[in-house]
Amino acid sequence: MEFETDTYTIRRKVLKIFGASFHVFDPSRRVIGFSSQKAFKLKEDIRVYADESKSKEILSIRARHVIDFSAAYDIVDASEQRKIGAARRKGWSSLVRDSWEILDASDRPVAKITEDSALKALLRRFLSNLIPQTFHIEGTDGSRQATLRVHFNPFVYKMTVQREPGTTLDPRLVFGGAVLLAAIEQRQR
Amino acid sequence: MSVEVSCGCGAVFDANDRLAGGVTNCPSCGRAVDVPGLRDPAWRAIQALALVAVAGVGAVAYARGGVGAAAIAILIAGAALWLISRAL
Repeated sequence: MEFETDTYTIRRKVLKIFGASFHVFDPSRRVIGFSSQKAFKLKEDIRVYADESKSKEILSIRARHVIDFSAAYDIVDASEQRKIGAARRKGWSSLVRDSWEILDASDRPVAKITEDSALKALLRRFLSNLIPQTFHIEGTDGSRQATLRVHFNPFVYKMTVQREPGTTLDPRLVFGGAVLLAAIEQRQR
Repeated sequence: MSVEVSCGCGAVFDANDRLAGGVTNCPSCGRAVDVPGLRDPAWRAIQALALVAVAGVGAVAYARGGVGAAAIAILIAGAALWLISRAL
């Protein structure tokens, strides 16, 4: 599958007035994913396609509620038409430091996504993103699964995802988590 | 608490209410199926506000043009709301 590559970059247009769209590139700059979000949609519904033609949907991410402090998003593999897991934002913790839980298809936690350090997270909130974010995905046993690094660029939002070799976490969940961070967290700034 | 879910394959099963409004896999065919939403408080608040807005439009129209104007205004505002809710 497209998102099973170990390294990819999510590039989102910052200057889009309504809605949002982003591309996912592999290291050779080939597009492996595209998503265009509608503006004014009450309930978040992110569809990721294999390319800009939108002929092949690869993943869908849907919010369970219209507004939810600890929002949960179900991640569905569109080709298999099967839910592969979910991501749940930890509302209170995220006030200081962005934190998410990655859940399996039965809603059991399998990993967590956290901003790199509490101090940097606080500085970012005061300095308005002058320090680019870095997130780590760790399994429930504490093992590093992936690193999500946002690049410093005021015009284009770019996040590079680097999966650790030999990790056990479903790469589709890593991809879904990274897409959510790119689509949701960035918009809240 | 649980929510009753009906899958396209014909299976009917209970899902945890934590999943309400989301997606779960059908235990019978394994495909992803939508779980009906419970009382989403935010959505309920938006619906209540919309109804108040329609009533307000009707009241203003009644004050300016009488019963006929109020009926037409409520009809138009209600139709607009219905269209918006379908689009969402």
